[in-house]
Amino acid sequence: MKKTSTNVLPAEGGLGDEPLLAVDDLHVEFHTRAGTVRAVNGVSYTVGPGETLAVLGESGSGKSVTAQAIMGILDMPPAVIPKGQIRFRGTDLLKLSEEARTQVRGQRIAMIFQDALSALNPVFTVGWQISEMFRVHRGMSKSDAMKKAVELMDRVRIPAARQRVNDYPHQFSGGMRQRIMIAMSIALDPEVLIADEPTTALDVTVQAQIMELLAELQRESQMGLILITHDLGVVADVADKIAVMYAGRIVEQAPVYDIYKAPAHPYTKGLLDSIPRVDQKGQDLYAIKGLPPNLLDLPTGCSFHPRCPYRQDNCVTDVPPLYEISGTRGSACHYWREVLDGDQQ
Amino acid sequence: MGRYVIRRLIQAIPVLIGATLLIFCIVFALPGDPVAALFGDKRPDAAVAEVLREQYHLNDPLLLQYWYYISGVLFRGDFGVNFAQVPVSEILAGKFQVTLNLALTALIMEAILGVGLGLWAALRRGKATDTMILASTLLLISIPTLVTGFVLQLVLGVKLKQWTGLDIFPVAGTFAGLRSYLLPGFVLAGVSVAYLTRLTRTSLVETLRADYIRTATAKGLSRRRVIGRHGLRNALIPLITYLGADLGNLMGGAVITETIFNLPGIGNQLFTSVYLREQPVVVGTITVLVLIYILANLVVDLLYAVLDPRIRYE
Repeated sequence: MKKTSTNVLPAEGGLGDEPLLAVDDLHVEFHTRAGTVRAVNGVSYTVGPGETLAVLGESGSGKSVTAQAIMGILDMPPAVIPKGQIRFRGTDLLKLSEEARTQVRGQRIAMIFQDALSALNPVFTVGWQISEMFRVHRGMSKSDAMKKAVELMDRVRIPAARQRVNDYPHQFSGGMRQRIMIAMSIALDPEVLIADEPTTALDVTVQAQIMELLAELQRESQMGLILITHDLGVVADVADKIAVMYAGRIVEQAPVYDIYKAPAHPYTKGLLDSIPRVDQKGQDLYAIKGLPPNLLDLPTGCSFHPRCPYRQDNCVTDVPPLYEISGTRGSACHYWREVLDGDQQ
Repeated sequence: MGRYVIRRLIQAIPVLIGATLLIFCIVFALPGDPVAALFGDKRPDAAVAEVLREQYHLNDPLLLQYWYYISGVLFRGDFGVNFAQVPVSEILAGKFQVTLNLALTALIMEAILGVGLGLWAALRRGKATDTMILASTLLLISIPTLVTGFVLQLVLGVKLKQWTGLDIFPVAGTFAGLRSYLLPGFVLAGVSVAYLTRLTRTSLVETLRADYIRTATAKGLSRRRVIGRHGLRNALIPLITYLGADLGNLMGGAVITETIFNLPGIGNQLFTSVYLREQPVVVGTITVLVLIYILANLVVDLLYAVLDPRIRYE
């Protein structure tokens, strides 16, 4: 696809009608020897200042790929973006020159990753890695940047930050490493923070602390937060709205309360039903039947139809659009009414 | 860090003893009586032979002989004397400089060419440049030093001078100063360059796939900085290790190159001494080589700890 690139950076200040970040009909494909893997097939979502969007889905649903496309850190090739827009303050990031994109990356849209041990460079001290943001992007001197790094480590509540600033990543515990990752990502006060499964590698008590920290930092700075996860428990407390992804599409999008109250897509319903509950102790856990879809060869019609208990004949042939249920809610199921009602009975 | 250094130094002791003992035993097992060899064609008087035998501790058990030798080397720097009563250390002193010059020339060429070509290939992975570099390294690995040595000597040393009248690469000897080492240095480095190129390419390709490289990109750093600082710093660790260990290889491998280019180094000396069955010189030369090998490895291990902070605190 031919693209004209520009060097015009996204504006700052007021937003007008534009959302802070809007992903619009995004498609991402990977051209491999085995064929074309359609990882993202028309994803649209928005996030505003101070808002938390949780993107939920199993491995391979395209949630991380979408995030990497926003950051512009996909390996291209093999990845190709044949269609779609990623608008940040009204500017399509996909049309920006690489140079202009580098100006946005890290400074205005930042990202934290799942496994902080492998995501941090093992041969540099954590202080060096955090302060690099200030040295490279703000032209600060080494010592000033280091002071800022200590401040940030304090802010993400790493004990004895001043003593630990010259330690290496492997000398920290998992939770502390993720805090360092967070400190690094918020260093330049980004407007959007993407957290790609930030707590998956951590144990449960630490998970809660990290989520609390993220929520607190978000309140202070009013940044938009995209929280990618497959953990429904993490989502309920912090998210404002949820986008559920399956096979590279959003199958349900809704305010967090609505989804937990009554899901409008069979897949979401299956996810919620498979959470272990105390009152069902001793019974078999509910599991969604079948296997995740093969992205090289997606099922026809609705990608979820081979596993769906609500399947009718037209599900095999017609791709469901994202039906509007209310102004803030949508479901990509031909029979969303039945799913919604069935749950309320 | 201090404890690591001390531990590594202590570990070097058994290696030194093991390696030198092995050489000592092998030379001891060589056929022929050293005292008889001393007299050449003539048959020595039995009493004189016995005196000499006693003087050189040849009647003592092997292990005791080894002890006399190694304690002399370690505590007094005494490598013994050859048949002509010239101290071995004196024989080796001048030759050692030549070999060191040669090995260092080769090492520098290896580092520049190997790392340079490897980086180039890694950054053009899958493209024509990459394929060409990989193919040429394969060629370089396949041709023995003996062949590259003579061919380059003929083409660059002899023919180039005949055709152009320019005397850039001397054919033999060390009379042209450091310039004399260029051609033999390149021949000696040849195979190592090929290995290092491949190692560099693999190491960088591997490193650039790491998660922290993705993080560095996500930090909004330029591609130059991502590769140059975050990538290279990690990719260099195995390369330094290889280069350090290779210094020992190069000094040992200098035997053939020094012989081809007639450089008066310890390789050449070793060749001559084995030919003349000058056992004290052979043992002395190899002991020095072993010492260099151990020293080079020690430096590599220490360097490794400096480069990779994860090693230091184990």
